Amino acid sequence: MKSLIVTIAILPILMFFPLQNTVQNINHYRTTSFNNIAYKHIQIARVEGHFSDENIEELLDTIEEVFFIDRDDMIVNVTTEVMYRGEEFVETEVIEYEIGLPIDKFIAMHRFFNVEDEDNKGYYVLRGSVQSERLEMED
Amino acid sequence: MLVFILGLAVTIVSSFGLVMQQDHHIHQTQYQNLKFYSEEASAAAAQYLDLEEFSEGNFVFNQEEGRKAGESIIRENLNLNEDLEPEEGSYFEDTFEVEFLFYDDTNLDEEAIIYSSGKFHVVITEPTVVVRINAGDSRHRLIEPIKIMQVSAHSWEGEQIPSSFWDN
Repeated sequence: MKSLIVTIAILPILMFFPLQNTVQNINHYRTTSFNNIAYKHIQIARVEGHFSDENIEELLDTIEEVFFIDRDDMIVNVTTEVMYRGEEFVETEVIEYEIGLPIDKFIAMHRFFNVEDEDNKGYYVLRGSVQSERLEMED
Repeated sequence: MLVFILGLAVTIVSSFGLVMQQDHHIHQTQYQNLKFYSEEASAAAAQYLDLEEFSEGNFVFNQEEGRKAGESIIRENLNLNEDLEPEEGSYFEDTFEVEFLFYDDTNLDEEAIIYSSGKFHVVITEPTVVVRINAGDSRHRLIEPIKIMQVSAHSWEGEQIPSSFWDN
């Protein structure tokens, strides 16, 4: 009887590990795939000199399609103004981006550990800048 | 008692497994990011040409501006300060070592140059900028940290203008 009680008590704790393993794998897959998608569109922006409407639209469409999330849940703050490369490097003439993917769950069985739903969510954010390749004479 | 001891043992071993897995995932993601930023740094550095040389038909990189642009990309994207030391919130802990190698008309001739660094190999026949980043140790908590290095190259490739073009 004692063994049965201990087994029942310890079982939820042991269940946590395979579930957490799955959550970590899913999050890793999502962030890696998100990186690949975002990088492709950042490189397009580099060539075009800014994040064009078509480029942003395509980025959002791809992420919606791949991750089954609503575009309103994403963070997309990018340079839409055209930047040019000159003869010399100017630190302000760069294309900036902040693109975030929502992560629904960090910890499996979070309620069992008394973690609120809100505290178990977050964003994976890619933030930085790239140099524009666009020349002024191209316009 | 046996069930409790077994349960405790499984809990400890599984905890180590989860920590290792998470460390490995973060390492892989950061490694992937570093690859992208090293590519961006080489692309940025390859954009600046010595226009005086260019007007004389020579393809020569403006190394000073190229370095500035490349380092700026690395600093901005990887959260580093002016001395390439990681700032708060960065995954990395060690000071970065960044090397720029410029291959252009000043050091390229008819023969191809083979650049190798670790598992990275590139045959250089066109003007190219190679960026090599040593980001120091990874943040593995349970195993020996891994050295994080990335190398990338950006080449200017173009077709030679046929002589008939000038006849028109």
